[in-house]
Amino acid sequence: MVLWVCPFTYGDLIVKTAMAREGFAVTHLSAGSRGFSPNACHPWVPTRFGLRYLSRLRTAVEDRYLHDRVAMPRDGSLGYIRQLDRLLRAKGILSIRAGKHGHRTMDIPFMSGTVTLATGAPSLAIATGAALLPVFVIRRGPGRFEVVFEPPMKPAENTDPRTATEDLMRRYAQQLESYVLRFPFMWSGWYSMRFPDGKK
Amino acid sequence: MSVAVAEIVDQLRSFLVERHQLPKGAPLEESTGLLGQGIGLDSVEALQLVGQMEEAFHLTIGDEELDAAHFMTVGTFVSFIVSHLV
Repeated sequence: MVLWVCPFTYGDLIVKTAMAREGFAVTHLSAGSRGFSPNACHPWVPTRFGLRYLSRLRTAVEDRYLHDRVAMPRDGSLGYIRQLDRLLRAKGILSIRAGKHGHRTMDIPFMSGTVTLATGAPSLAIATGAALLPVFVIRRGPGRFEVVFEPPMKPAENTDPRTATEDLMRRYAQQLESYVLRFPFMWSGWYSMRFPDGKK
Repeated sequence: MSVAVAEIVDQLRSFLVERHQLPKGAPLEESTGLLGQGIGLDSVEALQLVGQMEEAFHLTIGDEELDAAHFMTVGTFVSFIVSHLV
């Protein structure tokens, strides 16, 4: 099962916490820096301070709720994909943050502009036959969160994997848009959105 | 084992025709990019391509050998596969 986690505030940690409390062993795909998700959209993420200190702190907190963390190597090597492939074929649970970092990305219509998303989550789900669940975390008040697991997204039938992936990306963006319109202050993806005039 | 480079390119072409709607007769230049710019494979597709090569040529390629540099172009990928055949 692939959990395609929307980049809402606190979403990363809350999903891991909720899954651990319910007894599910979740493996998370993480950036090479181990800690900040590959799809963190905040411009301060790549700083040396962020990587050296904040990342370690966040990793330490998150890892208490994770079964395993697989890091995307900084050199771009692909061995980690085999690890994820084996995990999903063995019916494991993988969480991936929905965002723009990956070997292949797509610019998808979103509101009046476009948003850039990596194809990894749907591509892995199609390749392995794993269920693909969009997950949204909504903050309902101080210390109160609602975790919403949307129904599994089924790939289009009788089509090639690439077209099926692109279709899932567009459907996910529509779902994401409906959540962002309801909870705009929670979405951290505003930084990666592009408007028709080319501005971010 | 003696496998011509042309056989590897044929396998690569069949993969791309089946999964990327590459026209059957389309030329595959040595410099054509595979990951990102060019064909635009994603990491999962690159892994599937490796799997097809392993099956076709009875190879075993270790996880640690899957360096991104091997997937940069058609030429680097073919050289990578050839290096496992000798």
